[in-house]
Amino acid sequence: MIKVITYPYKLTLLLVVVTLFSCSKEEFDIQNLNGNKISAFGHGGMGNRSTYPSNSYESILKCLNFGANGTELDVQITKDSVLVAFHDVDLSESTNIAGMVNSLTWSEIQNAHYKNPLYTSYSIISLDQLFSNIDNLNQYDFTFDCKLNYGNENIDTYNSRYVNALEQIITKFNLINNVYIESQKEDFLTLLQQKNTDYKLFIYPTSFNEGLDIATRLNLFGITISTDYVSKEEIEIAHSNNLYIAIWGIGSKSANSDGIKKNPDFIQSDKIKNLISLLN
Amino acid sequence: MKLYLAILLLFTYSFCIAQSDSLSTKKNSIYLEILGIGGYGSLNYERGLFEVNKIKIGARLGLSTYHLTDFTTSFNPDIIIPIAIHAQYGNKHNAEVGLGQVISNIVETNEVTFNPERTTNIHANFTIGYRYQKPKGGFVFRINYSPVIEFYKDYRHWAGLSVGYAF
Repeated sequence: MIKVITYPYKLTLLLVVVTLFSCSKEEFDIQNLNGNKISAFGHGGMGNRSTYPSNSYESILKCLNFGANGTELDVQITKDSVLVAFHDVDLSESTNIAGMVNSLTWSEIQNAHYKNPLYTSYSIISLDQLFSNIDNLNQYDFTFDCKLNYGNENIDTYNSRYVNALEQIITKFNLINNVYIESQKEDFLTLLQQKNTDYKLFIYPTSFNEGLDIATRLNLFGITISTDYVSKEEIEIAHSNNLYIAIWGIGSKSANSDGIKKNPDFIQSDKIKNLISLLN
Repeated sequence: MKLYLAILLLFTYSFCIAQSDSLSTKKNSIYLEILGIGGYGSLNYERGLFEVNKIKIGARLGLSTYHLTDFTTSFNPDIIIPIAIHAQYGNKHNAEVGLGQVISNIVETNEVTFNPERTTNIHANFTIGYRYQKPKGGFVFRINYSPVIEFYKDYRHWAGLSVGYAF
């Protein structure tokens, strides 16, 4: 009789314990330069595993509406100096038109649509369109990953056009405190620095040591680096040099958790919804 | 082309109702298709319409979506409805061909207001592939090449794999 009573009791207790454990939220002791908080950024909006095309208006807005602090965007410049959110070198890689962004005008790109997913026709968006249509714009932060695809254009002319276009868009929408600019090119970052010393500039290196060297030498705001190429200890070194760290390459829930444990200042995640829930 | 397919569907359906008594294979099947004409995946119901010797004709209706909520996070699902007629030849191992349309009702962005807006489009598709299904029913497996003529304009290579149950 006792066994009959205790068995379901134990089973219930076990189920309660399992449920409690499965619901317990992971706690993090975050220490960084960002007020001991990690800013949750989408990677091109909802990330490259989303069914929305990366950098599309729909992807970016959904990311912000889920409660992200901001998002990373890939930024390119058209032939007529319009900044657009687009990743690939050639438009044919993911849209129904061909050519480099740099070789086409905005009116030629405006009518293009992404090829995937099937049956959809999501458009490429200009930064002007994007920022004109985000409510409470200044509550969000944006990282511009500047994709410098020169094509046949003179590099100096291209860089100059690009920097001027960035300045115009940042000024127009009063985003100086809300924008982080990242690039792999030292000369481009130097040009931006000469334009405005208040820009928050990030080097996007191939290794941590290279990034630390460039960021220290140029007195940049920080380093953007794949989570695979940076350790918790290296992030501490960057922080001790007063350099902020943004990590990307976060493609799973466990990568979100592992990334947080490294104490970066910004995480650009492809699983943004999960990252937000972990950090809140 | 759209009109042609609509007439073909109606004609085949009415013809098949008259012939349905002759079915010896299980008439109904449901299957989950990965990729395929539903996009990234779809749930489908298929009804056997008629059967002559080893040739079986069936009609398929499916449902799929990409997002249940739109970019404002409001409940506003994309709706994708694959419709097709399939012909199979064989007993347990079948060669299968199909022809159909997909109706898509997708939430995108209005170019002027930048608010969510539904757009409806029709696309054509055909399939050619292999189907495993015993006449007495049970497990169904399909694998096929299923290109789509998106918006009746762009030819897109596509493929699908289905598992389901016939009853």
